[in-house]
This record gives sequence, structure tokens and C-alpha cells, in this order.
Amino acid sequence: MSALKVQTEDRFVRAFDNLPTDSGMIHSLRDAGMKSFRALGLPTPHDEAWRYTSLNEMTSVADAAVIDASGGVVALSPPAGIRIRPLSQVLADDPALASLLGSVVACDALTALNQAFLGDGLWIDVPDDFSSGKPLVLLTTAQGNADRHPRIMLRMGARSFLRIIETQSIKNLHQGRVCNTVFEATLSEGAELVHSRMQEGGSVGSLISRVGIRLLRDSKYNSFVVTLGGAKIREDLRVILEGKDAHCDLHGLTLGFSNDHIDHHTSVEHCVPHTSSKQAYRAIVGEHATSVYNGRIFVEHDAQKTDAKQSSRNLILSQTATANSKPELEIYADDVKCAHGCTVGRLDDDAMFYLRSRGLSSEQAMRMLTFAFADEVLDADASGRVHAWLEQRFGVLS
Amino acid sequence: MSSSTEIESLATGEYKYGFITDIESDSAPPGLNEDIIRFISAKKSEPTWLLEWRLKAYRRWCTMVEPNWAHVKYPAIDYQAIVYYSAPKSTANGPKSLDEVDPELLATYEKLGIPLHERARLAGVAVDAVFDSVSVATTFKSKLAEAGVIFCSFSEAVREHPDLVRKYLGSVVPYADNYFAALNSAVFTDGSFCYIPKGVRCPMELSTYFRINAANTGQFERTLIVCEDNAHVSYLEGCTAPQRDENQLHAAVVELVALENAEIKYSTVQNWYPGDKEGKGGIYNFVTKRGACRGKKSKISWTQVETGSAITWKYPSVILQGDDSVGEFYSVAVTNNRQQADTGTKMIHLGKNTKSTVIAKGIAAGRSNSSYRGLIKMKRGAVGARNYTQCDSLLIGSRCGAHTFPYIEVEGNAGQVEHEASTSKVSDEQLFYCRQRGLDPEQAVSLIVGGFCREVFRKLPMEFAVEAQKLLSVSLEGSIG
Amino acid sequence: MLNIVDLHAEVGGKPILKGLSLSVGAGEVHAIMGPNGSGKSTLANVLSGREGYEVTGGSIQFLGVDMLTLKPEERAALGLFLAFQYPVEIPGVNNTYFLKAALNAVRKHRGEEEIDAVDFLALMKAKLAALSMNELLINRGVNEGFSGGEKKRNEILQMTILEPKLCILDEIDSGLDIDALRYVADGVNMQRDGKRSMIMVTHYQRLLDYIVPDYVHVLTDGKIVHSGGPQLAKDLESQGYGWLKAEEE
Repeated sequence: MSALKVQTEDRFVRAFDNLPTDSGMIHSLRDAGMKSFRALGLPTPHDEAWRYTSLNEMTSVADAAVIDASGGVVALSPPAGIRIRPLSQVLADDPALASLLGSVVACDALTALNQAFLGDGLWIDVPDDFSSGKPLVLLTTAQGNADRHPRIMLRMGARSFLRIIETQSIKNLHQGRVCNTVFEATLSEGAELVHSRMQEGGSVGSLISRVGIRLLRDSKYNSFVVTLGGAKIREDLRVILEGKDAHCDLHGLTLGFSNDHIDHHTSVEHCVPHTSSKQAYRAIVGEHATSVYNGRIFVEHDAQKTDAKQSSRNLILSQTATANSKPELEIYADDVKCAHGCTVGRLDDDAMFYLRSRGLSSEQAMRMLTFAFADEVLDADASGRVHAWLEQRFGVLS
Repeated sequence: MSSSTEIESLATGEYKYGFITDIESDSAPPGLNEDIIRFISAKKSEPTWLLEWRLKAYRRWCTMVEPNWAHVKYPAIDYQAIVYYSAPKSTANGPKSLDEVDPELLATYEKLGIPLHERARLAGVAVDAVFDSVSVATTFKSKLAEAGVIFCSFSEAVREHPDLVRKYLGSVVPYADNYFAALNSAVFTDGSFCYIPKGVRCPMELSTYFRINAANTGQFERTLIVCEDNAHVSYLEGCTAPQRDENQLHAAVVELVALENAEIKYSTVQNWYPGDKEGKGGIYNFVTKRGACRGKKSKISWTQVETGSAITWKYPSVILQGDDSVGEFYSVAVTNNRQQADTGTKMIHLGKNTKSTVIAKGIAAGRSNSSYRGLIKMKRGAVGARNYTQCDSLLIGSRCGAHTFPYIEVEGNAGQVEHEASTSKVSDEQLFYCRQRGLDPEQAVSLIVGGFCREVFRKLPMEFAVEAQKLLSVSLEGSIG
Repeated sequence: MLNIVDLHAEVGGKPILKGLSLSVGAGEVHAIMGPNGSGKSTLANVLSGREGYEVTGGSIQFLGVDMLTLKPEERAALGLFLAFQYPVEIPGVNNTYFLKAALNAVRKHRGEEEIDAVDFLALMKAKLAALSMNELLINRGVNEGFSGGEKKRNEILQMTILEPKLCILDEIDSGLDIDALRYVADGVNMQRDGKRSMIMVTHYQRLLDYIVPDYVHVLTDGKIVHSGGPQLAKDLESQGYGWLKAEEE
């Protein structure tokens, strides 16, 4: 048997072979990406991190298909003062910067796959002390019969402030195709990033999202991710707290119906003393949907005075839906405050009855209580965009 | 295929290859193959079906790989270097009474604080003691027999109650369940068997003490407890092993069956040798414990205090099959020096209105790692099922690790799960407070840790609770300073 | 009983006590008053041997023994008792069990026999009755979920049972309303038997209305700058600490 887990007949390998050959930095990065992808192979449910999520959808078609290497991510009317360049151009100008790619996200087969098909992603530099009331709007889409592997690199200067509103939509992607995104950011001293993501999948196709954030001293990362349906959606959010007094706040809201499968993994790594984190994820699943939350708090040796909290609450609306939750603590320092809580259940019968006794229909009552459940997390959406987006789809929420 | 004469000839044949029979024990040579299994089976004059079962397990085991998902690290185990059968010589013919038990052996138990003789009687505890792999003596057998309770060594059960054994053996933990369970099924040498017939409340606490004595010996005991309708039993298990430089393997299987309205309370105080300060030696404790609440309103309760072993890999579980059945898991796991523990439970909710409670306390000191790993699973149809889990970790010193890996899997909207976990340390303020009142630091730590574990200790029978508190002090020795 | 000479102590490298001297005789009650940050609590902690308080000079003799080399539990065994300003909660550790362990540790040091559970319970009941304290409290965890007043009462109960020779009351009045204060003061006064000595560390004169000291000392910037009788406390109350400094200069 070959040491390589991925054989040459694999559709990704064949698609890779079809890529136009080229020299330069991008090309050697792609080669290295494919090499490690072939060695690692796509994860299976036997891998602990993929226990609840199978990638069969991604391999359900055999044809090599088109790889859309244009990147698939665009920045809409960016606020003046920040510098956005095509990734390929940045690497051509300064090949040494290539070493920054993949330095924050977990290096697994999917990151490797993204690298193998590295296209024109975005390289965003935010200068020191930058601040704008205007958000940066990013749009990631994939459609039709083509895979996409968007990539974003963000470097934030000292004391800068930026809001990003990102929409990831694969609604019209075909069966077996994947949109496999990687977002990496480094926040310098005192920088603050507010990062909202709205993810929407379709009845087929996979959305894989990797987010890696490195936090230096006094920096703050605020993440808010809403996932609205999708046959296969998986996000891995990794935050590395590397500087004293760094803080992150991670909020997630999953809404899954029909046969949706939505999987959120977080890994919050406290590497130095005096850092803090908070995670609050909510999942609402109905019909035949499945949700997964796997949240990890990791506290390095000597990372004393860490304050880390994690909460996962899950609401199951139907007899055929499933919620899985794995809130994990891995702690190697003693002077820390770490706690997590998790609940899984249905709507409170007493509350339902109360609302109905006041004249609401069962459906109205259910809707009201469901959004009340989500409210706690929705409150964290400072932009209000997510709220508006949800109302657009569900009508008035409360 | 194998007739008893064949087995005998195999057994005697094996002798020619030189079984070590020294003064203390009667052993098989190291290594594992079908002949060794046949030898063990023959030694115990087992029926053919049991030998066949062992061989099936062995063949399956050969195709399996050792699990690696636990948060523990250890060098590869050489399964061919282990002795799979070792019996104290004096019991070759079986002691008729305690007077026949080797006084040295009794002294050892005495030293361990396990008074087979006196205190057991005073405490009303019937003890089945397993030394290395063979059951040494069972006390109070006649008194139990009056009540209709069968409590004997596993070997005796195979001889005297083959139908019961055959009916339930492997019915909760199938031989192919996992790597270590398969190994145990192939080579188990003895253990305890307990059967409480319909409507009987076992008149006393039943107890087993396990001890690994011989060098390079693995211990593979098997315990089977069956409680028929409306029956009730409380069972205690204690374990110890002497100090040895090399690691020793302990791969036990415990199966519990509770029928309608039956209740089984299973308490363990595990104090296998943990290895020295540098992590040399110690027991690898890879144990599969599982109970099945088969009947309506049945209840299985696991309470464990784990202070020993170099490595603990153990998840006492309950399958909540019967409607309204109840599963409980109360655990204290203490690790110090280089010990590693990955322990927790699995609560599988199948029946309606099934309830489970999990309280797990992990204490890590020195350079040790203590992990809680627990699965709460609610299958579709488990209408009205509920679980409450609380895991607390306490760290003593900054070179240890305490971890929590819960798995919560809920299908459908009929069940409810609540899980909480926290991590704390013994605070300097608490330590100083105790010392100001005159307690020395070790007393203070053991007191504070005892308080942290209180919820679990109070679930233990009285004598065990005292022993558990003592063990806690011993295992935390030198953890601060 | 206690003799402190030219004591210097630091916390985290910062000098707090700067040459404090104090002598306490058997049966005497001394009040140490002073503004915030003057070193009152540091003195209490240094006397009881808390880690993180480094003595850089001077000496402390207690019953003729050099205290500075002793561990906290050894000082406790000699008969030193600190009533904490903020008694810590020790969840799950039964109050009765804790006290019995503490009493036996002290008795062992004195060469006395350990007290058994039955005798201890009788002793505890008697003391509880004397303090008219609620028995339910003692079956809970040490200070676990106690109100501020209950925690202070628990300190007094411990003091009563351990029968120390010298009690240091660190801001025993903080956080107490007037009824609770009176109650705690009564408990302390019951312990005044002409042999037992006490050092009360407090910010407010109010406490001294209830526990009348024999001596009052004013601690400012790590030194005792003024000593006198109970009247001194009243003067401080009306004039503040400022005049003392002025007088000093």
C-alpha cells in the first residue's frame, strides 16, 4: 500500500494536474499544498475531529471538474485607508511573505487543499491606528459545477480597528462541489477586529471555512458567525492568544432545517498569562438537521490567570433532528478560571403553554420562543446586519 | 472439536515446555497464543463452549488495533511478554476455609487494611479476594446461600452455574466490544460472580479485593453481577498491587445486568501501584465496565475512587434500556507524579423517562494528567430522558493538567441534557487559613481536596469512605511544597 | 507574651513595616488603629507567618520563642490565633470536621491526647450554646455560603474552641451591621479572662466602644507613632489621624 492516502485517480489530484503550469511563488506553494494533501488524505469519521461530519458529499462526484482559481472572494467598497491587494501580486512582489500563509490555521488536509488550488485571494493590510466607522464587506461565493478555494490574509497594525462583514454563500453550488475558504489574521498590539460572518449553504455542496486569528498584546477579536442551513457546512475557528491581555469573544448561531448538517469547531489557545476568552454558541435544529459544536479551550503551561468561558446551548425542534456538542477543556496551568456549560433540549413546555393560553398559535409561540433562545447571541451582533438578514428570511423575529 | 481429553493432553503437553512452578505460584510462560488460551481453559476445567468463546475473542483481538484516542501516553505494550496465568500455589486445591489460606497472604491483606478475617465480619462484608488471577477465599458463602444469593469466584460459577454464566457472559460487554475487552475475554482467569434472584435484597455488602502480586503478570479478571426482578445488591471492589519497576497490565471486564425494578450499586476503590515519582513502573489499568438496565425502573449506580495506576483507561457505563431506569456515575480520580487518568462514563439512553446523573471530580498534582471523558447519548425514542453532568477539576501545582472531554449526542427533541464543568485550584488563601488553625500543609491539602470530593465520597459505603479519604491523603503526599 | 522589636517587612519588594515595636503582656488587649495602607493588616499577616510577607529586619518573640523561623501551623500550635478579615470558603469541608482536626493538631503539639468525636461534639455544643450560635451552621462547609456576619461568628467560635493565648482580630468589625458587631464583640469579650491577650486591628473607633482595649496604638507608615489609653481612640475619632502627624513633625 502506498504511504499516500490520496491516490492519483482522486478527483482533486486530477484537477490539480489540469491546472495551467506556471512558475513563481504561487506555483511552488500549490505544489507543496498538493503534496501534503496527498499525504494527509481527506479526514474520515474515524478522525476524532471529524467524528460527526463526513466529507462524502465532497467526493460524491468523480469528475475532475473545473477548479475556479480566481479566488472567489471580493471586497466591496472598502473603507479608505486600508490596502487590499490580490494575493498573487503580494507574493510576486515579496515571496518571503509566503511563509505567513498557513501560520495560524490548523494545517490539515483541507488547508492543504486550499493551498494546492491557491488563486487570487485577498491580502489586506490595515495601517497602525486605523479606524473607520465603515465596515469592510467581503463576499465569498461559489456556484455551478466548480470548486473554489478562497484565501484571505489580514494584517492589522497596532491599535487599529476594523469591522468586517463577510457573507459566504454557496446556495447555487452543484452536488459534490466545495467552497473551501481560509481566512488568517494577525492582530498587532492593541488592535481590534469585529468579524461577522453570515454563512448560507444549499441543499447540495459543501462549505468549509477555516479561520485563524493570532492575537498579540492587548488585542481583541470579536467573532460572530451565523450559519443558515446547508447540506454540509464546517467551520474551524482557531484563536491563538499570544500577548498579555488579549481577549476574544466568539459567538455562533446555527439554524438548521431539512437535511442540513452544520459543524462548528473552535479552538481557543491561551498561550501566555493574563488572557481571556468567551464563547457562546447556540444551535437550533429542526426537521432532519444535525448540528455539531466542538469547542476547545486550551491553556498552556504557565498561562496563569487565564479566564476562559464557554457555553453551548442547543435547541432541538423535531423528533428527527440531532444535536452534538463537545465542549472541551484542556488545562495545564493551575491558577486559571475555566468553565463551560452545555445544554441540549427542546422548547420549554410551560412557556409554550403560557404563550398559547394568551392566544398565540402554536406556531407563533414556537417561533417566538425559538428566537428568544437565539436572542442572547444575536445581541452580540453590533452591526444589526445579521438580524436584518434573518428577518429578511423569516419575517419579523419577535 | 476439543474434547476434554484433548484439552488435558494439551495442558500436560504444555507442561513439557516448562511452566514455571516456583514456591509461590503456578504460572504459564509469557506470551499469548491459542495454546495458552487452551491451557488456561483446561486449568480451569472449562466446558467447550467457553473455550470456543475465548478463542473467538482471541481471533477477533488479533485483528483489532489498540485504541489511541485517550489523552494518555505510554510506550507500546509487548503482549507477548506478559504472563497470562498465575495462581498462588497454595490455592491449587482451593482453600476450604480461611484457616487454610496462606497466613502470609492474609498478612498482606491485613497490611493493605483489608481485614478478611475480623473486620470483614464486624462490618458484615462478604469478601471474595482475588490474588493475582485466582479467587482465594469467599467468606460468608453459607449465609448468602440462605438468602438465595450466589456469590462465588468466576471459575466456580462456570462449574456450578454454567447456565447462568452462559446466559449472561458477554451479554453487556460482547467479546468484540473493544481491544482490551477482547483480550480479557480470551484470557480472563478468574473474577467474581454474583447472582441475586427475584425479590431478594442481598443481606450484606458484597466485596472483592484484587491484588496483582507476581512479576510480569497481567491480571484479567471478569466480574458478572445479575440482579433479577426487584433484587438489590451493593458491591464493593478494591484493588492493590505491590511496587514493581516494570509496568503491569490489568484489563478487567465487569458486566452488570439489572432486570425490572432491580438495583445494583457498584463501588470501587482503585489503588493499584501508580509507579514511582519518575513514572517508573505501575499498573496499566485498562478496564471495561458496563451495566445494562434491562428492566423497567431498574437502577445502576457506579461510584469510583481512582487513586492508583500509572495509567487509567476506564469508562463505567450504563445502558438505560428499560423505561424509567436510572444510571448514576460518581467519580473521584486523583493523579500525582507522572500518573495519567482518562476516565469517565457513558450513559446511553434508549428507554422512555430514563435518567442519568454524572458527578466527576478530577484532581491532578505533580506532573500528572487527569481527564474526564464522558458520553451522553440519547437515542430517538428516549422520550422524557434527562441527564445532568457536573465535572470539576482541581489542579495542585503548575506542572499538571486537568481536562474535560464531554460528548453530548442527542437525537430528537424528547430528551434533555445539562452539562457543567469548572476548573479550580487549591487556593493560597484556603491553605493559609487551614495552617493558621494549626494544620500542616499536607493535612490542609488533603482536607481541602476531601471537601472537593465530598459529593462522591458520601455515595460510598461507610468503611469505604474512610478508606477513600485515607487513600487521598496518601496519594497526594508530596504534592505541595 | 509578645514582643516585637524594630520590625521591618516587605510585600512584593515594597517596604510596609518600617521599624515597628510593640509589647503585649498576658491578659492585655491592644488596639492598633491607623489609616488605610498604614500596615495594619500586614502586621496581622506577618505575625501569623503568611507567605509573601517578607521580614527584612527586627524580631518577634512569642512566649519567649523566636517566631520568625516558625511555619504558620507551628505558630498556631503555640497559641496564636488570627481572626481573618475575610475568612475563606472551603467548599465541602464540614465545619465540625475542620475544627476537630484543628483542635487535635493544636492538642497534639501541646502533648495532649486527641479528643474523640463524642467529646468534641459535646464541647462544640457547649460553646455554641455559650455563643447562642445556630447549630445548623456548623454542619455546613467551612464558611461556605455564609453571610459576612456568619463568617465572623464562625471565627469567634473557632477561637473559643481552640483557646489560643494570643488572638489577632484583623478588622473583625468590617462589613458588620451594628447588631452583628455587638454579637461578635460579646463573643470576644467572653474570651477575656485576664490571661488571654488580644490585638485588635481596626480602622474605626466604633469597635472599641464594644471591646474596650487597655492600650491604643496608632500605626502610620509602618511605625507606631503614638500610644495611649482608650481615650486616644476617641481623640482619633474626633480629630482624624492628621494631628498625630503634625505633632510628630
